[in-house]
Amino acid sequence: MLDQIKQDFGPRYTESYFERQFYTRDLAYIPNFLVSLVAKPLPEMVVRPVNAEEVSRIVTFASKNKTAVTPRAGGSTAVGGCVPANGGVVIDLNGLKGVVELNLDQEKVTVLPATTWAELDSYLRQQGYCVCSYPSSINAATVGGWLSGGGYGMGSIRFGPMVEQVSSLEVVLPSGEIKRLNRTTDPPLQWFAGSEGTLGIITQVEMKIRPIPESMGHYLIAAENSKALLQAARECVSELPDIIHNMHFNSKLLNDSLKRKGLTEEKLGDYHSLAIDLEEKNSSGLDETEDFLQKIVSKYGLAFMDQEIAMEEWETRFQSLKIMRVYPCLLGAEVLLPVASFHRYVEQVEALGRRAGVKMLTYGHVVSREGAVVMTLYPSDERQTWRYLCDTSLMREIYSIGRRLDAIPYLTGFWNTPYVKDIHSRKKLRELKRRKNLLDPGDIMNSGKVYRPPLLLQPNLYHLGMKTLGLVRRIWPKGVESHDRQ
Amino acid sequence: MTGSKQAFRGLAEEARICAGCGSCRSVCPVYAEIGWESAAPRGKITLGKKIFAGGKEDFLSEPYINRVFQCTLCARCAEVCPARIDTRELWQKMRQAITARGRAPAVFEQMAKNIESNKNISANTNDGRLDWADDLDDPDCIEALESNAVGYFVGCVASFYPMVAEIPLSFVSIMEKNGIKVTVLGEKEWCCGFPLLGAGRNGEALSLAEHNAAKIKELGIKTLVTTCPSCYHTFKHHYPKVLGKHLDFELVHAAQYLSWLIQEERIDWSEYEELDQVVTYHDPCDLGRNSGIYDAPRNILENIPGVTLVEMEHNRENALCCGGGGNLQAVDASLTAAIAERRIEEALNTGATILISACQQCVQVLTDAARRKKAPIQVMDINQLLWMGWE
Repeated sequence: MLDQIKQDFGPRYTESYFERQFYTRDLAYIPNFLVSLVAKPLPEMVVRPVNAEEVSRIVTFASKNKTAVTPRAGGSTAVGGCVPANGGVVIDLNGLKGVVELNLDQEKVTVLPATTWAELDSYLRQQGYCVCSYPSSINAATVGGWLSGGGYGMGSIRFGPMVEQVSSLEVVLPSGEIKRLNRTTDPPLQWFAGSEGTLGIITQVEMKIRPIPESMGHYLIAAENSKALLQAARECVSELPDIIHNMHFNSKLLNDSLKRKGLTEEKLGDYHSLAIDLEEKNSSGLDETEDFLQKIVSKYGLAFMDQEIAMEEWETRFQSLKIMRVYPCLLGAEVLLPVASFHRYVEQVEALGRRAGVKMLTYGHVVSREGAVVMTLYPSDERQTWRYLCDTSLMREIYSIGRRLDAIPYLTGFWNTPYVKDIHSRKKLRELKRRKNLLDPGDIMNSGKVYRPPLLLQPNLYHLGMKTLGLVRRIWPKGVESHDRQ
Repeated sequence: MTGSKQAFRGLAEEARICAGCGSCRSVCPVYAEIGWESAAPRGKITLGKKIFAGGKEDFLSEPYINRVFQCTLCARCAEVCPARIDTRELWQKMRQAITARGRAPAVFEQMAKNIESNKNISANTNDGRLDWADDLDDPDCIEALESNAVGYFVGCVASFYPMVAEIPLSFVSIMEKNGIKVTVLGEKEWCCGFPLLGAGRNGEALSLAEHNAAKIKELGIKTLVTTCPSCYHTFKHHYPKVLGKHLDFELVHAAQYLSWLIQEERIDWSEYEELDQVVTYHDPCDLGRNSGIYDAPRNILENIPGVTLVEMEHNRENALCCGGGGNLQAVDASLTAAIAERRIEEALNTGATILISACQQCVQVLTDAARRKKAPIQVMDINQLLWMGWE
């Protein structure tokens, strides 16, 4: 059967070490010796199918041979979700790209899973339409990948997580069966949203689109006090959920770091900032909203930044990684956090940074009336392996702060499996495992992820290891350059 | 503005800045054809980080070197990089590092030898630089230097490859028709150095820059026009760096110059025969994305009587590459061909019957692709199209 696959896929199949090595990581850098203690990230083969039938053929082969399957498209997260935990076969889905059908009457598009959000949005805009919501990694993240992950980003305040915009899916189940799903089929499409590729491979997505909004307004509000700014954010999102397209927070430490390298406006460097991007049917509606924002700004003692700076923030909204120009090596943690706890989270994480002698740089998107997806990054240096490992202990401390404030890691993937019992309630986890057992009894599909940690990442061992690294870190002579210390 | 590209900090440091987010992957024309992560810009940087920042030389394998040179230097990756890495510069630095280790593809040895001995990229001696001009109505029109003459830097490809000789012929004919004196360097024109830079042989390009700058000065040229975007880019961005001073003359691409002539009403349209053509415009990477010149060629097309311009899906800073840049054709001609065919598909989707570019390399590569595909579309340079109405 393998010979048949090799023959059928020809140059789209490889066992070459040179090619396979590129599939052993995502954005996260973890030293090889450490990875090899807990996982087998090097796949035995990589195949590049171009349609659902070809995906099905590979999955059927894997199912019969009890071989692990790791689906991969954008590879744009940092939790190891698209990296093999158990070797096997990587299915590189990037050949499944493009629009299958556009139905403007019903305002729906059917799209292949490896289409990036930038590609889809650009295509729709040429027809006068656009996507409802999208990730900030718009050029890298794919439609299938974002649905399989959290699906929260810009546009989510108004349109909800991506799953709420999806009306049907085509998936290849772990048995190899190709199935079309909607909200009432068995299984329903909702099972696949957030399943991080562990239940099957999405091969087509039918989703809602919308006309390009006629009018947009961009505002940037600044404050020295994060509490006032984030309370204002909370009030805005409660009052204007149908108008806010994007609400993005940058901490003062982040703005200051960017300012020092000329990566943001000089004035912004002294403040926490909140970008609010509004959509309205017409400009008069926008005027009314602006009045509301004025009142909020005045009520909380905040200040509007110049319109030019607000526009600059909007135009560079996909460039969060520009901070890498200041700190080429960053570690971090991403959480889904109650908006009500946002300011306390920022304060406590920054206090942790002061204790640990590193800058904790926080930014985040408010994604609903209740929640925000928040990233905290801090500098390290991967060239100093042991110091780098010791620095990873701070990730656990960030998650601990988050946990006390009812936050959870945004994605699980592989590296956050020690937190799986924090991420899901016992009941929810039981249900997720039931679905997994039902659809994938052989545990081939993205195995080793999401549901349970491997032995060495069992919570007790993991936390003990991280605490030990934290202790070593305290007595370590020097971290990243001293100017990064506060 | 803060959105602009940042200063390049060196190969090792810029490679470290790359987080591997993959924004570059989805816009890379080479990755689109090859499909393996190793061919994506982030893949090349991931391994490059180990080699050039981590000192792990054993990763510098033949397949990796091949991937580094499988690149058109189109810089679409730089356009979308959220960490604002000047990836075009990064690829060139990688090529230099590989060349310095004596590991560059052998094909560049011959090219470098040609340039060293002939002062051009062809196998011909440099005294044939003006052979193309024999087909001018008045070949002497470019010989005599007059104080108000515009200098024309023809470039190696247009000078020596008959397939694109129509480009300099058209440009000079347009100038003559409109009473503008043009002078050329003839055999004193040496390769601008662009192919050597693309091959990672920067040191060898220095003497070419010094020679060309000196000869242009000797002739008293105040305005230098190129029809080749890569010559333009090299003069504009590389020469001041290596010569350590600003150019002694004004440099413009022919599209800019013609657009200016139209704007100044110095083009005499009285004898011009309306063309009645629907055309689409392909932005050459070195003119558009890498030099920021988008409006001038469109201004020309919009002013040619009878011409209707329709845009391709990917245009201006998002334009797809033709596949002919970065010396790719010399390293992997089939990859160039595949990339060019994709661009032809996009041009056909517009319904245009003529695909215009402002670059002899784009014209050559896209013409070949259109022929192979038997596509009902003609490919020509903007000078050729403009000259058609007087021909």
